[in-house]
Amino acid sequence: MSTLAQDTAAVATRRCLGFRLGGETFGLDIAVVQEICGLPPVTRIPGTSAHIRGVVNLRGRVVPVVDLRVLFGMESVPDTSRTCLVVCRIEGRAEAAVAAAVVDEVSEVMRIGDTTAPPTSAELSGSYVAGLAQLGERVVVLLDAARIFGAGGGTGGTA
Amino acid sequence: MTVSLDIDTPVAGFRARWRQVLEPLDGMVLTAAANPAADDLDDLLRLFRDLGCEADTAGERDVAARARAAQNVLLDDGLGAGADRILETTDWILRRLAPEETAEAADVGCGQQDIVDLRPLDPETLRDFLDEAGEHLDEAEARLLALEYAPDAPASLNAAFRSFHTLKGMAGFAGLAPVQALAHAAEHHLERARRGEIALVGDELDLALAATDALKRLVVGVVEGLRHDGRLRVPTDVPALAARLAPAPKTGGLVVLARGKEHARDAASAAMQPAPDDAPTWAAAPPAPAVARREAVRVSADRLDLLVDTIGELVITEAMVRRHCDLRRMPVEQQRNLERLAKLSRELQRIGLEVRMVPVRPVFQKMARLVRDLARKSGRDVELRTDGEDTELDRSVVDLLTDPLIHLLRNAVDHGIEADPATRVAAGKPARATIGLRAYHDGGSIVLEVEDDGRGLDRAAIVDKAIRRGLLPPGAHPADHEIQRLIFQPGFSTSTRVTEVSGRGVGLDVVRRNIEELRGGMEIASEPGRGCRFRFRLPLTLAVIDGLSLGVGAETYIVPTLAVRRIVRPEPSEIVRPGEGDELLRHEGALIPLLRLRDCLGVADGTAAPARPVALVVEGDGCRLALVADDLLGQQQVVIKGFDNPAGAASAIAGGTILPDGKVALILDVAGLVRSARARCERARAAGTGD
Repeated sequence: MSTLAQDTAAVATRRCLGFRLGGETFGLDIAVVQEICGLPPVTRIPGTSAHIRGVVNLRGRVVPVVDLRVLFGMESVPDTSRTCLVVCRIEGRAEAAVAAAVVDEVSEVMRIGDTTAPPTSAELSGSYVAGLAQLGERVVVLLDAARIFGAGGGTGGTA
Repeated sequence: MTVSLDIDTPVAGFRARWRQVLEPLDGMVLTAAANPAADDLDDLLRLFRDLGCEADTAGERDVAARARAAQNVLLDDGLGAGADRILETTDWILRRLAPEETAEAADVGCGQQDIVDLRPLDPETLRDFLDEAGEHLDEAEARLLALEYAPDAPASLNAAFRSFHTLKGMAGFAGLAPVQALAHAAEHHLERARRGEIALVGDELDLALAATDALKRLVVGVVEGLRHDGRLRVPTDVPALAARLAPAPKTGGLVVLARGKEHARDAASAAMQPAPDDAPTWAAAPPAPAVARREAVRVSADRLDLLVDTIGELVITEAMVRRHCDLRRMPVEQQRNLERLAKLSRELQRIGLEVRMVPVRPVFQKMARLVRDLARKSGRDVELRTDGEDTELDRSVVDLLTDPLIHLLRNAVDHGIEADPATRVAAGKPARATIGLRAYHDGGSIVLEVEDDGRGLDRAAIVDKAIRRGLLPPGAHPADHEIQRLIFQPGFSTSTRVTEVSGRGVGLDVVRRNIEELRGGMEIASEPGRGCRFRFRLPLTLAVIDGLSLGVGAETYIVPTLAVRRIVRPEPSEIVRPGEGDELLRHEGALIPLLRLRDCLGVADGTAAPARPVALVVEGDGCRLALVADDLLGQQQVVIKGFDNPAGAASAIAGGTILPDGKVALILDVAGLVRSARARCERARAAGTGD
């Protein structure tokens, strides 16, 4: 972990939505989070990679849903009453895209200071991680929303 | 007149010069396409090469790229086949060079240019002006065009006059002196026509139309100015045009105008004075126009879309509520209210869709102008008769209608109609050709027709060409519908020989593609020597389609009803398996590739496939295909909801829709399915021959 200190990114205090996947806590910048809601019935899209769970009806809008457990290579678990969707709004070149992520449960809104560092270890799929933050005892993995929802997350894709 | 030579800034010089070069190019390309000569091709190649180099130097990378692409088109396809793409490219480049050019050329043209500072003007009045100016100008243009065929109609003349008059008043209010002055001049021009001093035909009519064009440019200039630095740059040709429109001034206001451009600014400021409008010319003017207009409110398109979306949600929610109610256990009063709610939300949905409907009139008007210009350019005497301008269709469809219509009308004028009126008279037709442009509603769709009384399709030439290109076996006698299919083949229609002999078919494949994108269909009726009619049928809206819902496993998919030809429950004996994995359906004496949706959509939810599934014979991308689903669930109108398709999603998904139970169902793209089935066949064949 010696590399964690070096090249520390200067990030001003910001607020992040914390949520859990397995035993770990992740965070998404609150600015991109549009809302949190329960998990509605999901319609599968044929031909997509496994981490795209499908699409849902979000008040009349059809929104794609990403399963973060699958994306991060974690073991899949059945949905519970705490399972929910984090709906994000990502400003793109032309117009904002709305997409949602399935998470085990939402925990809190965290205040993250300038203690974040860029990801260094290979154990996390680095491209989805915006940084790491120390929050009390815990290490919170801050995610990059644009990367999670953009490009489908895989370069392999369909040949 | 080489304005370009004494310009100091390279970019300005580049723009001004190339506009002059490219503007007359249309005609040149069209004549060259009809009579290809090696010299023309070389000239064009050189021209585009030079343009590319200079564009690079001037920093216009996009233009340079287009110029290079044009060279490639010329080298690959020659002038005959590439003509349309060349024309498109030049149009694009001209548009690209246009807006700033007017300002720059004006700057260098005489070193003095009228600039109106828009910033001190009242933004509210300005907005009102911009909102309405376009309408008045369109009205004026339409009336002027009507005069061409009925020069003595006082109604049209008066209406055009009123439009200019109103525009002048509004411009005065808004403080846009140059607009006011030009509208004034145009009005004066029409006033002279009203008094019988001039006849509004030929050049005089051209002049009046030039005034509407210049006014339109000024309006665009105001919009651009507001967006950029808050200044309106008045092109230098505007005062000159005003002077030509009002050459023999009798009144104070006009004297100043007529002195020419060096005093235009004075004229403008003079006209801008809020002094009472006492010019004698106005005495003859009618009182303020009492035009019968439908009461209308302007709403931004975004708000409208939001309204329609929200109505859609309401309808879905209402359906969900009803689903979960046990009506029998409810008080009668409650039941009745629920019924009422259902009725109201259906009504709302209908209104919501109607709100987005607009008449095709503006498009038709644009076409009227196009035909007039094309006819004058090609020296043909053509009258455009339009019918059904008030036919309404969805805003999204109207925008996409322009391109195919331009293609068809250009075809009709340049190729369909005989160049020599004598030929027409000899054939027993009037010397003046007629092109009909019609729109009407038919069932759930809108039909548009472009009809000319020219030569009609030359069957023999088309068949000959198709045989030589290997599209038909030698000695074939194709039926009419096969002829249609042939001329819509990519590349076929653009063939020089067909263009030359039959006079048809520049870019018809482009038209077909456009129409298919709009989920429409197209047919041609042609009679040699008597003319040709293109008719296309489009959905009223792109937001709603008629769909058949299919059950596949536990999932529901929607297939657009328009693509479905027949629904059958095939006997097992009707399914043929010629090779491993391949299946064909024997249907009406033909073998159609069969696609099991369970397999191609990867449905694996543990449900068992039924013994006798249902098969839909669908048509897309010019091919038929049988889709096998578990069951047919019903037919309904569905609202299409686009979504950002995640990477890797099957190309067969055209979008989604929300079912009455609130779940999302995916809409299948039939053309996409046909394409992927075809690709699979070809792969299989390639693998077969490879072994």
